Amino acid sequence: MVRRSGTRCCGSVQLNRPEASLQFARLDYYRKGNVLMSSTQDRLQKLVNEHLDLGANPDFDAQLADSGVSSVDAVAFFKEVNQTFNLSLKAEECLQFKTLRLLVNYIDANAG
Amino acid sequence: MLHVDLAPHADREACAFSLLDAEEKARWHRFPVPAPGRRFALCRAALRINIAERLGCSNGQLSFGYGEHGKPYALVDGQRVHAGFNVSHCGQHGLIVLASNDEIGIDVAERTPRRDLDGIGGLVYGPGERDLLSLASGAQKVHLFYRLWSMKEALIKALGSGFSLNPSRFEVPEAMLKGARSGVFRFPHAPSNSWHLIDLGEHRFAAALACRIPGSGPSRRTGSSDRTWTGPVPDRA
Repeated sequence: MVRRSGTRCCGSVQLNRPEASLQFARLDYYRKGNVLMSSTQDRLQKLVNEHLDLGANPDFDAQLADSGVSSVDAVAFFKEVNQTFNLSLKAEECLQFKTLRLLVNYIDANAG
Repeated sequence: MLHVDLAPHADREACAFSLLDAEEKARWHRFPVPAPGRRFALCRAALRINIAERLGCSNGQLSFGYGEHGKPYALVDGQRVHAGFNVSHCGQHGLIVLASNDEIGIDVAERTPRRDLDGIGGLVYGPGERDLLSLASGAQKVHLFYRLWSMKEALIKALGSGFSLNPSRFEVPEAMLKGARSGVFRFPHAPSNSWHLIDLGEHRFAAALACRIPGSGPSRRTGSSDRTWTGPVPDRA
């Protein structure tokens, strides 16, 4: 296959092909500066910055159990996640998200 | 019960860090910002000193394991021991409770105003608790929200379930909803066990203690060795 043109972003290559663009559109990705972003991740990072004290650039792959976040803050955060992404996560279901990355993946698969 | 001063203090933090084992030091390094690492190190060091003293072992012999839902338990030379304890911290204050019974939980939370307390309560409070919260307003709502929170958190910490047990599926005793400072509680899914629940809150901080009443039902504790407290049985409240 001949690669006509493309840009390497975050370890992947986005080709200038309609089907590739459609695929990315379905997954709700977009370009921000030189980085290919998931809009879910971007929106979630705003909620994290507003509700959790994880530093300036939260690591989406770090274990949330090691974040030092209080249980009140965690539940308040998940309430905002429910509202923002039209979900209905219960308190006990929030435990399944060991990292913010897993939450991003869940939202991309289930958000209304 | 012990109070731990969690205010920043370089010398105390260095001393506390030196008491941690390799696993705890690795955890300390994983905290993304300094404050939670400081709280963890100071509380864990204070816990180590007190447990080692009561068990008559050295700090080096002591380590901690974790239950299915993250509740820590003490190990001496790798063997689980009868050493009931629980830890909670908030801001610059840590609380440690020590008891002969390991089915004990404590929680402390600062009554910080938040938006949409009813919405947050909707995820964790039962119908009667939500109704009560909805009737309150202003500072009274903030006070009640954290009072309920600390009592329910103390109960699920004592049980060792964490949030795997949906907190909205049980309510604090009715008398405590009406203002009583202590009461006897039973989880709906395990009514043969009774728990003391004590509201320890004051104006600025909500706090609560829960512990299983011995002999009230089958204990959930398993696999402990015979080593137990050598000192006096600590106060329950």
